[in-house]
Amino acid sequence: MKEEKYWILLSKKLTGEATARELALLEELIKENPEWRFTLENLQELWNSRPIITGTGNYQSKEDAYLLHINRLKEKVPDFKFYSQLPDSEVIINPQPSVKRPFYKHWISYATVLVFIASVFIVYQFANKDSHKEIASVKRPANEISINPGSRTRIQLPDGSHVWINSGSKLTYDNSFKGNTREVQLDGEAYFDVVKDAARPFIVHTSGIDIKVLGTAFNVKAYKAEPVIEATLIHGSIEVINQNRPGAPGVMLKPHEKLIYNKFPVADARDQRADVVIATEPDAYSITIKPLNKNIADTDIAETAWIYNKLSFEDERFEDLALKMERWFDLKIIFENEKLKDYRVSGSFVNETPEQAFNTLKFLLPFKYSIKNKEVKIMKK
Amino acid sequence: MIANELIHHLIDEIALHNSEKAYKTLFMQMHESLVDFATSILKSAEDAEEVVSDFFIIIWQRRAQLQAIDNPRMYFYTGVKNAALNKLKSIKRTRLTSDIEWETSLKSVFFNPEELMLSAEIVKEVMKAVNELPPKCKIIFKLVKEEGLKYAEAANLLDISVKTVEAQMAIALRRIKTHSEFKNQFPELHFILTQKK
Repeated sequence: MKEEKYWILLSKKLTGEATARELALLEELIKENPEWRFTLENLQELWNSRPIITGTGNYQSKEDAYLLHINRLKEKVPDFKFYSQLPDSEVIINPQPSVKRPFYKHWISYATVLVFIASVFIVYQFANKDSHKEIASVKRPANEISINPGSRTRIQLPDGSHVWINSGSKLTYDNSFKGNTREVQLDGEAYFDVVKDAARPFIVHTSGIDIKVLGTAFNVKAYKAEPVIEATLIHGSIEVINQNRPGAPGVMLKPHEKLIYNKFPVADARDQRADVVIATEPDAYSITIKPLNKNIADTDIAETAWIYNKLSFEDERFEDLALKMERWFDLKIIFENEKLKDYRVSGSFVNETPEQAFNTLKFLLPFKYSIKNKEVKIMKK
Repeated sequence: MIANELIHHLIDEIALHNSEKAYKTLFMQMHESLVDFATSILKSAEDAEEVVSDFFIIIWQRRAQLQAIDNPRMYFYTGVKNAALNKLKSIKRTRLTSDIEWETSLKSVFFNPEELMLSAEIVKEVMKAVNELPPKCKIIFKLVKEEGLKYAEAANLLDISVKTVEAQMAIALRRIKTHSEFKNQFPELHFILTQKK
């Protein structure tokens, strides 16, 4: 009977269905039967392992299916045509967080009219230019992708590289992407899976460091408003260059290492829990490198869990977690008690609503809260 | 597996801008999952392709109303399920019993053996274990593991209770465990073999 319960709870844990109470229950069962922990860990590893991504052959067959589908569509819907023939960029701009939908719905009819007017205007503009050359000469602004708080998205860059962009972040790149280098500007957090192209280095500019890449996967957290920039390497190799010392040799990162760059080294020392200190000269902006725990799956690494739709945090101050949660859920969080800010907490949320997330935290920390109009007040219990 | 947010966004693009790019992305992202799902009802890949294509035609025709949908992923699965059942009815020309015989197979490998450093033998065993699960158990496992549905969503789609999903997932995982036993029998050896450098 107990074993049956164990299997049900274990399954729920792996699939992210377990409540905090069920997780606690599972821990209790494992305490009674220590050998069960081994099974849990093995299956967890298997469950979290990412399937091998199928290659281009698969893409080809999907493309074929789409062509067949469009032919059937044209047959069945004689007046069918796509109206928008404007050069869409590869990117997805400003996804609306789903919570805003009901309000937004009322405006659809207005928006449709506006879009229609805009299209007519643009088509008219283009109709007046007679050649493709003319259209190309219209200077297109840099591609800018802004992600609202509460949203996350994945895009593909023109070179085929994938970028996952986290809440409240902005990624910009211009058409020079087709030149000798592939350069993007980041304000916020993004995970890059860069297509190998030794001839054209990929460079991420942030508000403090530049990261130069050949082909690799890594996470960059560089919100302009935050004092610390972090770069975490998953595989491949990257070179990090300090913008204030452009001549100095860059720092090379190895897989599963995290680089932390402090924009204002003296003012903020609380994140200095690093094991190795690289630059310590008095004038240097401090760069530290810290290894990640190698024995956890990519989906569980706090730095990259967000791309699996998981908000993960490890030994984090409640105040720092609150900042993450503000972006993640598009909330405003106010502490009415200063002491609560310094509690440390570890864990992760998968697909939880803000209420579920705070209720889970309540198991771990002595606070109560109220949510009203996206404003959360945190009070001493 | 495509995120609901991306689906929402693509739908917005289609509804407001008639964007072909968004329509194509949506089609290509969901095609394989939906065809697999329809095949598990129809037992014919060809019929399934047709059902999914027809469904996407409806999506295009009704694009203006799509934004009202709360859970687009479920909307797609439910729509394809109903279309597949109608198709089945028209082929068999019989009234359907309420029980659908779900028949599906999992992707050749649903995990990454290289990352886990598993031997070919164990990979084969695990896949066999999964593919020999009872049909209902297997479709539940596929929907949860490969398509990322929540228990409640899978239950809703398959007309079963959430408790059944819980129990079936437990059965599936227990089977996988028995078939990847090597690790349990020789933990020390396993540790040496799988140590990452």
